[in-house]
Amino acid sequence: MKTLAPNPSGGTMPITLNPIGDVMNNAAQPYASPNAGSLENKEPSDLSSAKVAIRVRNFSSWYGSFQALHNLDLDIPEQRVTAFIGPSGCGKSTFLRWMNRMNDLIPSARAEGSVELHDENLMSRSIDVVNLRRRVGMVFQKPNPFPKSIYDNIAFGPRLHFKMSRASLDDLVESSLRRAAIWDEVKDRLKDSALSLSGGQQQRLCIARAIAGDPEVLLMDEPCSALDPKSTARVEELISQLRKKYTIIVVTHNMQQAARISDLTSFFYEGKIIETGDTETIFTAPAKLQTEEYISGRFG
Amino acid sequence: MPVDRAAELEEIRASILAMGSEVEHRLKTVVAAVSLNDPQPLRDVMLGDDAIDAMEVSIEHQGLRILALTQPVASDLRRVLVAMRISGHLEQIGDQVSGVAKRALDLHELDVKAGITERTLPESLVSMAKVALDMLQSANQALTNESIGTAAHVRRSKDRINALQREVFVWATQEKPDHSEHTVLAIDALSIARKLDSIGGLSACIAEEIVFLVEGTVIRHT
Repeated sequence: MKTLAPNPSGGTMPITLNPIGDVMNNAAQPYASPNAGSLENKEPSDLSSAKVAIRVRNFSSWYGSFQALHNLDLDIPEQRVTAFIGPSGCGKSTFLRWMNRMNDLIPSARAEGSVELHDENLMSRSIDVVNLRRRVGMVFQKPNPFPKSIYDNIAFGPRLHFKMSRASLDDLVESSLRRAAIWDEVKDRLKDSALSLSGGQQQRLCIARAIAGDPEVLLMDEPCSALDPKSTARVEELISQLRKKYTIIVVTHNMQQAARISDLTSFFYEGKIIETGDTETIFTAPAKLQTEEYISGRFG
Repeated sequence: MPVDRAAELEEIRASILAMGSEVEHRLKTVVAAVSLNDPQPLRDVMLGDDAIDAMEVSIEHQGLRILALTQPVASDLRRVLVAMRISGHLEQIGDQVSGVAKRALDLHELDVKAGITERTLPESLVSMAKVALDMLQSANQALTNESIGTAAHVRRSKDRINALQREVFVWATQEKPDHSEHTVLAIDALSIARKLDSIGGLSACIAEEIVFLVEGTVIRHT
């Protein structure tokens, strides 16, 4: 039986958006699922060998006077898929957007606490947000390709960030499209407008665009909600391939999708994390009644 | 047609309880018929096994329908899985009950040919039948009430029925003055004991499923 994760809130100092000095040097510790062991005799979880990629401690956020997130503590495993589930308005997308500081664009948004990516506090004011958004890529609910060619959708970011030869850029475009499992469909039409692609292809193009910058983390906010079942299946298959290289966090309202694609699931409700556990346990024997009722469709 | 998961779950629960009740009724009938030396109920039980098989198939269909159309999770998922697995255990118990009825009927027919009007069965075998019946009844009760305590009682009874089976074996291997007569009875008694032991074991499996249903904990092989 696996051990339970230590209480993450104990003994850590609240960290604010002000510049941070020391951060905890514990990124190399193995990940321990907080709910592991509640379903005895199950197969050992793949999570047991994962390191912590993102360490969230005592994290709260507000829109003006409204507190959207309350004292979140969470360890997100490296090179695994973590699903955030919960009813609309529970704060999961807000939390996702803090991870690459998208909420900086909202004047009334503020936060306290820490979100550390490999020991670096992403909430620090001194952090280079442009570089952060390269390291932490994001894919949105609705595919949002640039109104440019398929090629330029991929090449746009790397041209800004890196000085690259044309040949290197060609290689990067091809490798990104291959990793996003769309190369075979677009290799003969790279100069065509990205808007000519189907919705499912556009979403995979956006994933290719996100991974072209060689991020460490991919954030996906309901990446399949606008797609048909076949395109959804392709994106889900892609996610399971990408997890070998990237840490992936997916917000989804589709319980079956969370069950299919994620290793770890966190259930959010009213700005709090009610329960986090390995996905198999959450969907077979959750510890909390609220989780059980939500995933069974009895509320939310 | 829209599928009401709650209604479907209630339906599969009713089906599994009805199947458990039917199998229990058959075992009770066989145990009573053996002690009364009455062959007709034994024949009825043997012929009625198809109904149990049909119930198992029906519950499997219900379970597949719920899984395919409503994608249940957590306790709902466990409820469907447990119903499908328990229906398999009950079907096997039904087979064993028919087997006991057949052996008891063979014994009865031999008695008729030999002019024996009253057969004395070994006390350990009679006790085994009572324990097996109690285990199945308790398993059904545990399922009805989703009671971990009653399920634990069923699991504990496994030791008792195993011990009684050993006693039947000791009795069957004893030397008797009327050797040939004893050998026929001993073979049938051992066969019946093995089937009763199997009924007890399968009842314990049902009890383990109930623990999984209520707590989400797998206790098989523990």
